[in-house]
Amino acid sequence: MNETNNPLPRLKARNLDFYYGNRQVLKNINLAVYAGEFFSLIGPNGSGKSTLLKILSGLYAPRKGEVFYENQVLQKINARQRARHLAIVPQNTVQAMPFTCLESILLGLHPHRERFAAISDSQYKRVEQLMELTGTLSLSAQPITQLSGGERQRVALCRALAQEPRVLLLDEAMSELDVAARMQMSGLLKKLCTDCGLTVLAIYHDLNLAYRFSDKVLVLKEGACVSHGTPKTVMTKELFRHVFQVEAEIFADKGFFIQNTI
Amino acid sequence: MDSIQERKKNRYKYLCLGFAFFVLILLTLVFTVGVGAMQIGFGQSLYILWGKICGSALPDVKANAVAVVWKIRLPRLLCGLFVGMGLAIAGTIFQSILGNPLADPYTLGVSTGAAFGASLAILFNILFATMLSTTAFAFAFAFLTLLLVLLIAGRGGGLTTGNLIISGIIISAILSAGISYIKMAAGENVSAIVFWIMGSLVSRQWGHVFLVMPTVLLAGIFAYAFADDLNVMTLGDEEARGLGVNTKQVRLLYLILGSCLTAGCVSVSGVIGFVGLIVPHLLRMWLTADNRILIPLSALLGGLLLLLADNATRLFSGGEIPVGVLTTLLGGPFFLYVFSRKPRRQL
Repeated sequence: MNETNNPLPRLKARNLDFYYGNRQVLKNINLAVYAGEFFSLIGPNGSGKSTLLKILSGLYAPRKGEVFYENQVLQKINARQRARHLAIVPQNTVQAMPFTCLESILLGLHPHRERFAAISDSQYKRVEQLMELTGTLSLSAQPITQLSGGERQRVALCRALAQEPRVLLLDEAMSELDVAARMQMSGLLKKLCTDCGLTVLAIYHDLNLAYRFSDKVLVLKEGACVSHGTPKTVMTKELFRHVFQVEAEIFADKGFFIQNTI
Repeated sequence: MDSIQERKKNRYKYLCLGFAFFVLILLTLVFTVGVGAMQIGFGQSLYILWGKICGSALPDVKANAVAVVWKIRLPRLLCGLFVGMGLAIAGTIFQSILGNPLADPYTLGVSTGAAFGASLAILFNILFATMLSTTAFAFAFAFLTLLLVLLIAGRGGGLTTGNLIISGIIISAILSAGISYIKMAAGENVSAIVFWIMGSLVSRQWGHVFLVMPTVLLAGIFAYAFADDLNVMTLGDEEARGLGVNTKQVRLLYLILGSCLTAGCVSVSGVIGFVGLIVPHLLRMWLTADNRILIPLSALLGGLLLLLADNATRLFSGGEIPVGVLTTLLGGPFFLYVFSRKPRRQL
């Protein structure tokens, strides 16, 4: 979307291949995500979405091909530096130790803190704002071990935002939130994209939300990219039939309704 | 926000608490160093300690009083203090790194290694009249055990919590069998081995202090310095790496620190139970899970507790109950009491 005023993609993948042992899970993936863009990865189970996200976040190295953050090779950026630009929210975050929510969220400041440095008032203030936005303020003093799955996911999202990332990578990070919370959280991220130029790269569990909030989607099937573009052009009846094996009825601009499996 | 204000206030509270522990440790040391079979007044003990620290000759004090305070009681008390500190720090580390609030310094079998080494040394000393140092053997075998556990866990698919615990259990079981065999081979001299393993601080000398003190202080400083990384590690590997932490390095660092601490402590005192489990666990339940606070506070409370426990065995039981037995005898029921009062999900 911002290609004209900023031609350099924030995150770019070129000819990615990845294997687990001998099994190829990603085949020649190419993508470019720009500043301010909300980009979704969709596809059936086992299509390689999570693996792709891990490569794009620098956690895995691709067998072949390269990932660029702006114009640097992602694998060559040191981990701490990378963490100041990219934040990852995995699907399951289990913290076994009874940190309070506040303390757990403050861990998001880690890449920005020098060893032994105290947390500054301005950092506290920003975290407080983020907690308000993500609805975690009221949980602040609660031990994280006592939260529900949805509450834990809110905390994880808040922690990732506290990291001040320019690219936020979500691996089904809202799967345990209720419908209203998912809408609200997606809306918040969308607003951060348009207002602050955040780039969101998300694996969406809920295809309607992907349709509604994404600027672009990339569809994976068996490790290969089958389609790629704006949700309206990509998410068609044929795609649902071909990739997800379901019959769907599409309501333009609103979403779709899954009728039947094939 | 309230909880931010509260967090700031709490930090101050923890600092005061730490200071209080420190003062209590000093007071206990000075007060109890004069008490025992030979009573030496508080003023005189203080005078002896001060004189010794300043290096003055102390011409006006009886030589045997100086010897009792400086050569017999102080090293023993200091051993207790540093062993308690070391075990509590090691417990904090293992609980965090293994993501299990019920782990303790002995979970990975390092202590069984130390016990095996000590038993071996004792056996050789009995059979061949050698003068092997049980402390040195215990330390060396504790370290070998750690290496073996790391090697086995690493071969089984990486240093994950599950792999580490399982390798620890396996090695521990084998070494336990080894210890049983050594006990049998020792015949009627088996009591020396049994008493060593029970854990005691009787007749520990300056040599022991000079082994355990630097180990605990150095490892403690390192553990404190990387405490923020340890906090981030509790989020799990994927998120920790996302936050820029080199999880492999940090895990290895803490495993080595925790094992060095355990090895240093066990080789000096034998296996003293419960301090390393209970102290970090209770502080985490009562105060915070933040290792930046937990590590120093655990160290101070652990040191204080073992110091008091050792004094209790020394002064009230006529030195007959080994301190390791006392800590478990008192610590176990106390832990049970706390455990039954708190909602379980906190664990």
